[in-house]
Amino acid sequence: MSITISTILILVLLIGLLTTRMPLAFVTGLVALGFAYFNFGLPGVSLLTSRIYSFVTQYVFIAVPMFVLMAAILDRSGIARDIYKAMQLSAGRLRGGVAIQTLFVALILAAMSGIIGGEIVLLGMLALPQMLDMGYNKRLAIGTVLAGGSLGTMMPPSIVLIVYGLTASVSIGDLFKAAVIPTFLLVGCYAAYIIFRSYMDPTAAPIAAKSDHTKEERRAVYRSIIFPIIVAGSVLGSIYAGIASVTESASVGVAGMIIATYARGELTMKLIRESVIQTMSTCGMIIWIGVGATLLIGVYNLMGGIQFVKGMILGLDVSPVMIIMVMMLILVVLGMFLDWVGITLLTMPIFVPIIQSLGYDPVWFGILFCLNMQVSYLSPPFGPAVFYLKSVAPPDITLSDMFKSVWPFILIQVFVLMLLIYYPQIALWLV
Amino acid sequence: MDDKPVADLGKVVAAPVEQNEDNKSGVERGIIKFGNVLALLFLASVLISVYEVVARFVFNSPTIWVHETTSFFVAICLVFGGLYCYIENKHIRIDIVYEVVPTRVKFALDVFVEIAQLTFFIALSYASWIMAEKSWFNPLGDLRLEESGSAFRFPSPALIKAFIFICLIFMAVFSLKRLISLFRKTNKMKDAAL
Repeated sequence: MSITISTILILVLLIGLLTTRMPLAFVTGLVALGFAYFNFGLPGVSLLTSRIYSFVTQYVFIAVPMFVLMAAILDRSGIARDIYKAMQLSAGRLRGGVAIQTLFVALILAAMSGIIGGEIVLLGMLALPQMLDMGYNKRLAIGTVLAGGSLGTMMPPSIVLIVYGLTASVSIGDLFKAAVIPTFLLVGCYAAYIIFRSYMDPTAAPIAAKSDHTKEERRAVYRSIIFPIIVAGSVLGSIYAGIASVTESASVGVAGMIIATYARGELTMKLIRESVIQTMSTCGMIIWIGVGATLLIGVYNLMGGIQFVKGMILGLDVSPVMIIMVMMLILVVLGMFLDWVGITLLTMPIFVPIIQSLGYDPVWFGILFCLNMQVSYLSPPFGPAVFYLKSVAPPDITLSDMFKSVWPFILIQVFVLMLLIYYPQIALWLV
Repeated sequence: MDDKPVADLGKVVAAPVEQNEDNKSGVERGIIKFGNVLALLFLASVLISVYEVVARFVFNSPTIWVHETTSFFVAICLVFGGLYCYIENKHIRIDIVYEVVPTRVKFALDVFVEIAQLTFFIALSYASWIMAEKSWFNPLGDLRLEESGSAFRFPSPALIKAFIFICLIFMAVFSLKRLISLFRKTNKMKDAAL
């Protein structure tokens, strides 16, 4: 069977099997199994299990469950609520102020958490009801929560960047450094949009009433959040300074988060148990999608597929920027249907060698990829951010309300993506 | 300001997208319980990693066992996570087509998916048996556990490979069980129709 036909067959099988409601992890695994067997016989099949082994024993990968655990503890503590409260106390009376505050709280939480889900649920329970009560435009409020809540995997530590780094053999520390300015740029654009909307249409974002809190109240709230913020700062600081490996920093971060919850009087055996169980099931999901995808891409590579796609794309008579654009388009489309782990492990072994032979920096490409995944969290029909918010949003807010709310934010994400494509220094300046 | 109890937040975050509607057997519940305890290995990994960091930076005496033990603990949890998610039906899937087709097609899809998964699990169990066997016995057939080759002579590769085999066998068995219960369900439906 020629590689062209095999490639088409793989794509058809993947799409066909996905529609049967088979889990993504097993779809990719099964297709890999079939092609391994028909191309290489039984030795091909035993290659698959050794890939499972090497996948779960990668040392750097340990950082993923650690950051998931850190986020799980954070979500169960009252830290997020107190940060939100502190932000409220210190806020001025800017039009659209509560939405901007929400965005900043989201950014702080994102610096403590490398996943999405928990943050959106928290903001959906804290910020969304408040904005709706104040009479904010529904779409503006929902969009802010969804876009802000998705920042967890954009702002370091981000497990998307960790998995990308592993796949592309790029330093995760460099990726974390490169992600900082683009994240601030993205948040800045969100904030600019909110302010612009608020001043164009004053009914969209009413001004908050004056708060009447005493100095003692303020102090108590500030005190309760200072330690968690130090923890987050020192995790990132130690990675940036190169003192500890990403895996060690992540472990220290978990320990710090446990101490922080203890200091706040929230540490219980129940909290710990629930957090580790959530870590196990989240990682079980991630790792098996990863296993399936690495199996498939491994077999495809042995069949000469990666070489084939590379040759085909590099043989195109278009400018390198055009190739990047096509890749971005492919990622956006895949992002509508697949989750980010599958996308990373399926496409990056093909894309990264191509962009390297075009002379681009894989660190920069990782940031583009990460931004792309921000789009995928919000985009219909399966935007995971939307489904997380649905689980806590008031019942009169429908899924279609939510998908209508995210468009301005998706456009901003695409705008920042374009800026990064044309000005790679935005990402690479800090590396 | 909304002051909902924080414990509920955790539940919402942890709640799966869909709940498993069919009844779990005693063995399955046992495995879930075992998993809930096994998950504490994550905490153990945190503790020993912190110990390592302190030992290295404060006392300037790095250990030889933390790195490998952490890898071992986490690998075990990750492998087990696959089985755990399979029992709890937490693996991500796309049901956009499934939701619009009639019940009979749904049933056909269920059977097809389960047969496909069973094939997958059996094939992988077989392959992982070969892998595990190689790491437990030398070519002459004597017991010799594979070690990672570091100064800390712990047979983690052999143990992880055996654990992969055990988890895959369990997945194959539960897949078979689901297939059987799918057919039982239709027989009941047929009986009811007659």
